[in-house]
Amino acid sequence: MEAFSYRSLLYLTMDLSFAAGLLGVLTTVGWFLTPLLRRRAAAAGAGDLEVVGRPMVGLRAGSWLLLALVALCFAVNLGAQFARYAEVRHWPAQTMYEVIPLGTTACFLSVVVLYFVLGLHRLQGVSRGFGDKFVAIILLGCGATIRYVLTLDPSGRPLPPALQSYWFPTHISAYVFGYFTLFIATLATWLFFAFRFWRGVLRPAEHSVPRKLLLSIGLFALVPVPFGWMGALMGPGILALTGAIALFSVRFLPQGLRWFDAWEAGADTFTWKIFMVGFPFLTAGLVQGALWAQEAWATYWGWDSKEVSALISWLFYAVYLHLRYVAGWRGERCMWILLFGGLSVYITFQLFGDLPASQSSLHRYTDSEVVPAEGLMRVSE
Amino acid sequence: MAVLALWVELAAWLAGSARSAGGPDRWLYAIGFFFTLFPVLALVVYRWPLVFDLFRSVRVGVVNLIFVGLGAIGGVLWHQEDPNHPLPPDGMAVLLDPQRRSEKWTPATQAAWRQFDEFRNAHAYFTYKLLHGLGFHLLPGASPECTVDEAAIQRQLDLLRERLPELRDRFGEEFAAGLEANSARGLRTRAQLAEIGAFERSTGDFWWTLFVWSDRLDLIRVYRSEWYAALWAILFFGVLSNTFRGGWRRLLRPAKWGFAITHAGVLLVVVGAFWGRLAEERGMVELHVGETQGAFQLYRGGVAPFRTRPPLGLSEERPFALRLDGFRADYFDVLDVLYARQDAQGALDFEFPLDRQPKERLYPGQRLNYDYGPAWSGSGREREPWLRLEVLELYPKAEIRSRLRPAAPGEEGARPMSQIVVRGGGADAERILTHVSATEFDPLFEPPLVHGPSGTRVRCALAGDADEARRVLAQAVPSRYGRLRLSVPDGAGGGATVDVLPGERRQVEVAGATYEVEILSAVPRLRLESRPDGTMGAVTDTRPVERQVPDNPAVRVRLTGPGVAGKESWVLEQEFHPEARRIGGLELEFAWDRWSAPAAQRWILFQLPDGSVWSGLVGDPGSLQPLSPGTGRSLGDADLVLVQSSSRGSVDQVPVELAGVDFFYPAAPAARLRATTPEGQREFILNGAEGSPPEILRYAGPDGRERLVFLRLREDLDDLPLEWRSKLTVLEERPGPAGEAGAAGARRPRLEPVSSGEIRVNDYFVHGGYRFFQTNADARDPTYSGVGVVYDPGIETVLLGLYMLAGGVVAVFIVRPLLTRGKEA
Repeated sequence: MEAFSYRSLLYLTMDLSFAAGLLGVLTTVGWFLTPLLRRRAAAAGAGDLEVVGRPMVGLRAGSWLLLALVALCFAVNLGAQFARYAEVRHWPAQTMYEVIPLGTTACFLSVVVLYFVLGLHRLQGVSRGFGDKFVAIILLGCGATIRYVLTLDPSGRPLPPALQSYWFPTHISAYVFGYFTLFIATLATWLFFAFRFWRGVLRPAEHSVPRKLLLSIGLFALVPVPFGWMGALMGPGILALTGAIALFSVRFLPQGLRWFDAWEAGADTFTWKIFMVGFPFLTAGLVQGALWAQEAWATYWGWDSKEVSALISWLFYAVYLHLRYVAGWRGERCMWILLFGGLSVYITFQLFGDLPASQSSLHRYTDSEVVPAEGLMRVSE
Repeated sequence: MAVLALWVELAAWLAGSARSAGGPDRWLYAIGFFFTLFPVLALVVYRWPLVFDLFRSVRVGVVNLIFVGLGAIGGVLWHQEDPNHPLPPDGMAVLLDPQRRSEKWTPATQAAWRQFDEFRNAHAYFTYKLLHGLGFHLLPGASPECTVDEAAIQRQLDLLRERLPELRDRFGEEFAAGLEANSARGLRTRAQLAEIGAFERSTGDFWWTLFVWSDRLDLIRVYRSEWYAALWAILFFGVLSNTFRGGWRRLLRPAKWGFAITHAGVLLVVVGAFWGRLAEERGMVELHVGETQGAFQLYRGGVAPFRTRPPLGLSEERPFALRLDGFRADYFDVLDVLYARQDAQGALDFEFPLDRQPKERLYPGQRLNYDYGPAWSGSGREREPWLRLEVLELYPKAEIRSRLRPAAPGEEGARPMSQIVVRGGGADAERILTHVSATEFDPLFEPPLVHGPSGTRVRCALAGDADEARRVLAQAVPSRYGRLRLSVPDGAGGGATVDVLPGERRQVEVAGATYEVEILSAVPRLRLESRPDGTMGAVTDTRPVERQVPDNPAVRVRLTGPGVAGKESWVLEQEFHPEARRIGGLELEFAWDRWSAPAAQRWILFQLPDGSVWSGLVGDPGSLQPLSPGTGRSLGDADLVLVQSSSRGSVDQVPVELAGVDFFYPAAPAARLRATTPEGQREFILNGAEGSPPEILRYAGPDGRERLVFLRLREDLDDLPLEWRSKLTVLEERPGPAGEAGAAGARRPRLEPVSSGEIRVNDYFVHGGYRFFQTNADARDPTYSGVGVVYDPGIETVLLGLYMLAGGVVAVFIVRPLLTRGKEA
């Protein structure tokens, strides 16, 4: 394998992503341990600066290093895209082997942008730890995604006439950036609900959470299960992880789950800001798709199932937007729509090929199951 | 909202039925339609504020948006019929009637069944994926044998994995990874399809019932149903009333610009879409190169004539016709890299029995590496390829030109040759010709050089001395246009060959039967064009036969014999379809005689034993003169030049890029490659023309065994093309010249070109309100082009709306927050 080939750079991105994710896990643990250190310092009568100061400096450096690694992941992943461009001689967005890493590139970029937009760099203590955990989950998810991509057919396919358009790179990139940013919004929303769930379960007296809400969150965790291992990780997996953190907080932290108060109060604004970044790209993808279809088939909207799937996602977010702007909805009610919007985006992006209406879609370029290819069957039989 | 949508559906159904029904039923539907509209009319007249409040309500707007979304979800979860090929009601009627179902199926019935089959497949596939995702591992009706046997798949993959290291070394990491991924996917898909098939068979009645009701309830055409259109109409009025809520002056505030632009964009999109829905015409016109059509086939059924549609009907509509002047599908240029092995008997087989052997799309400067082994070049790397291919030059359109050079001592195949050129009349003709002895000359095997403008033919011959040359020049040339061979298709019973001379009639014996062949005409350049009555007719070239280059020779014959009574037909020299060569059980093959057919002058270049070249005019032995390389002699209106000559000549093939030719010029690719192995370097030319020989490389591989590699350049016809393109001309009727009067004395109209353009996928051509775009092609028929035709007056409105929507979103989400942040700071 050549040192600067697409595949080798993907391997490097995956390794970096996992390494950064593990660093995020370590800094998360570190930030969560700072209250314990403080308590120990207080008990020993030592100065706060003396006992906690040095680890705090290290943790802060670790958190910044985490961000630097995300930026490095972005740079290497982007480099991989350019390497692929040189290999296949077109914008690498035709097969899932190319589109998904384009998405992880967008994801790394989103994390860097959102880190500052959301003010994660200003947080301290356990809140900073929660922020690092958020980033770590995204990085580990990206690493796992690239690992999955490396099992796919890596052959470069020629670009069919319909895809040879100047809209091809911009339309797909806008959608992919929008999708992955909105995935991050979904993840933030789901983390919010998961912690709400555990607070209601572990501290019902302090934080009353309606039973209906608890049940709804529990059921929602099961919704992505039929979508394979990724769904299982995102649904019950995240719920279990947050459960472990909540249990640790309740058991060991002096303030229990109080650190979540600030997050709970700001969750709506936090997810809204992520949405504000992702939604214009989703709209741009939709509009560009219509303009492109008009050029290719003189039909700006052919009700193709992929187009409709994308429209459904857009409508979810349009409803979210209007309920916030016009009806003044805020908080939990609104965030449920974001959750279902994320689910719709996932179906459009990954599960579209299974839907009945997709069988005759004109958008099945990326689906290798259209024509099942069998390589060395004469040898293997 | 749902009630409103259903009400619209009911109203539309009643209106449609009133229009289509006859007799008393018609009035029944019309009265029903009136009473359906009545409550709404009453509301609008007496309670207008109520109606306005309804549309202005945020709750109604959001609920409606949810209904639009739910309708869309329904459309995605239900297999939709192709709007270009809707389910034929006649076909469904036959399938629904048990008695008629056993009748012979019409195309409509077959189409209806095909749609049901697609519906069933799509839903069974979805059910499979859903149930398996939920943990059910066997669909109802499927036997355990047809489930995915993971152990069996793994056994097969293990066999593959045994050879994977070897394949990885030979073709690289990516190739091996792709092979493994595709094999695993292929094996699993095969098992999945078996299970889905068994499931479909066991639940066939259920799917049929579901399909019938889906058709009745419009679930297979959600997006074209009236109820869905009604939801969009409600959305339109909701957006409209809310956008202007509080007065239009409010929208002039800079803070509201983004909001106003976005919503005005949405309104324009909906208005344009409805306008298009009411007025659009969609269809296709199928054309062959040279063919003209004045109408197109509508997807909804029927035929519509082309007529210019001026915007808003501001000027008169005019009929027009569309002619296809050119079409070509250009395919990707690929290099096949075929590793072969040879057994003891010399038989060749692929070294790796793959379903698909490796192929690479080529581009200039590309480096391809194969056969990785220990480093041999001193590069310092641990492993490196033992075969490196570098694409030095790639010509997408090239002509392989011949270059004459003196043969090396001992070189095989060397022959006496001359390179000659005839210049003049605006077109030069150049060839390398072999000097053959006068007695062995056959114009069909050694065609002479043909120069059209001067009507000159030139060939090369050998002569012992000048006297022998003069004797050859004095010989008469046989009078014939070509030869026509008649035989039976299976080759039994022999055949007969006749000389072609227009006006002649011959009796021939073929396979024991006697036929009469009459030669009606013979032309060197046949062109067929469609006539106004739709038939095809030959276009005659007004130039004399001798001044035409025979690039498509043809003979028109009348054949009479057993089973064929005076049948007339064109026989083309370049007819490749065996069926098209057959007339009444006989196969006819025609060859134009480029030497004996009429010519203004025929010249022969003689090479004498001393290597000197002499030229002379046939029929004039006194014209014989020596001709030195680089010199020429006048032919009247042209010059004959001897470029070079050799008594032991050899010809090299050199690729020359065809500059200045357009997309439609059919030419094969060519490439110059360099191969590097531990044994050395070699450069070679690959010609992509069909039938060109492959380049063969031999080298010792890292394991010490000899490698045999076949390299072949070709256009990849197995995959999608690189591009399709059609050249179209629009013709309109214009009064003919004053001399061409019709029966009533009026000038007979003639079709004249008014505009022309090229179409390709993603680039359409517009004329008279119609958009023409490249839709399909037929790999078996290179002259066919499927041109999509769309008349949709709403497109511009929709496009404007889309741009406004995008601009508005940018203003709301990017520009305004940035400006506001600045103010806050």
